[in-house]
Amino acid sequence: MNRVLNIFILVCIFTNSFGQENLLSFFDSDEDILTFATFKATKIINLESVEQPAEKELDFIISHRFGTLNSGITNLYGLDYGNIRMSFNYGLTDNLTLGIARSSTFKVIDASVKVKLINQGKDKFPLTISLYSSLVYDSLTAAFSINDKFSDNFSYIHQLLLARKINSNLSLQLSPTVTQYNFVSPFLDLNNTIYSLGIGGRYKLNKSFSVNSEWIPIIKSGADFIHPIQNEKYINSFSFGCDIETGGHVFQLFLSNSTAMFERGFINENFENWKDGGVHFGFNISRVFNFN
Amino acid sequence: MKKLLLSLAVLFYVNCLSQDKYITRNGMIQFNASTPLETISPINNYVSCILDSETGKIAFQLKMISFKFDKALMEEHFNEKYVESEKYPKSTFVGEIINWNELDYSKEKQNVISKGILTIHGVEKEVEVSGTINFRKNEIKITSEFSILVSDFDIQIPKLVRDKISKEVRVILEMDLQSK
Repeated sequence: MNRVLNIFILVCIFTNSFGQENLLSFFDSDEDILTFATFKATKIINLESVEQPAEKELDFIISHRFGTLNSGITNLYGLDYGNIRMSFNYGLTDNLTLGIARSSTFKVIDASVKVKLINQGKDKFPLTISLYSSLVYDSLTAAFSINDKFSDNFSYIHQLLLARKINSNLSLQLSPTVTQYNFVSPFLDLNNTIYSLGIGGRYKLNKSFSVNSEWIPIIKSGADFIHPIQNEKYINSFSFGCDIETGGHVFQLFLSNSTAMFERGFINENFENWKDGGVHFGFNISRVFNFN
Repeated sequence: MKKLLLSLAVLFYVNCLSQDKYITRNGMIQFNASTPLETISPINNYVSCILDSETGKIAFQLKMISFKFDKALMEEHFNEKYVESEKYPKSTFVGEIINWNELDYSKEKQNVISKGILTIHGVEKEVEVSGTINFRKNEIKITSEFSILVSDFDIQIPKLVRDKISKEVRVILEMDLQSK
């Protein structure tokens, strides 16, 4: 009998002390926290980043690429000459963006779609993965086609965006890309199918300022593998710059050897080299409009 | 002996009863840092709250990232630049209702004062706020409204947007606690 009594008293004491513990420990402590703000803008420099406008938001990006820095004082080191691209990207949902853009380079119009497949942090997943595809309408180049087929106006790119925010300052992204030309300009010596690997990243120096860089080597042309560095034929895009964020705008200022601002152009169709001083100053300005 | 056991059993039962916790995971906290230049009043509908009805001890916890703003960009700036939600994902309050023993369970709406430690952005501060409490069957409703200063929690606002964000933030809180 005494034993039963003892147990009762023990249980009473136990339940009593149970009530004294920290109330906060009643809450779940191990929940998913989705990674956000992997990059400041929807572009790293030329490359698309895994960022997207939120649902019912329009991201308007106006971009310029000037002439080469080595074109001398008579051309104000390239600033006399400029390419422009206006791009409108609308968030249908937080994970689906539709875009349309017009570039002065070849008077190209491109339509794009970006889909986020998984966000870093979801079930502890280490990456954010998105798909990006764009359809380029280029009637200026197609005018050289002898077939006169309407489909010659089009080329496509498909891109897988694999990004990881390593810490609050450093984010890296890999973008395996395939470009499919229906018709290649006779002035270019390119296969109809080109594979490339975009590598980009950013490092935040303070809350509103980051340095960004990207390199997009062509790795396969048709069936032939290309050495990303030791090749004479292809000039790969390399860009280096910074993001400056103010309240509602993101300014991206950079130097690049690419002048086109649509993927097909800046990945595959470069004519200037960093080592020869064929470098262009450029900027993107992004402004988000809210339709909520 | 039997009587003793019975009374002990009753004591045990009462003890368990008196441990009653009231809890919610879907409490609402809204804050307002609006200025004439910008409307800033996000809502967080996933606030956890627990109240020990025996002692009047109370605790709140929320994820900063669960505050929903009208503008996604504002939400991103809030989390990335101001409250640094990656470094300090949660805000908490741990304290007690100091006039708990004077409350009348049969009355509907009564004023309460709660005192405790509020932790935001990794900074702890002792606060005392007033609110109301409403006893219902198996349910306790708590509301409160109070102000905090952004500067008390070491939250830096850049000069460029300083005029757009109020230095004093009004917090509105509503919890429907269920008996656990």
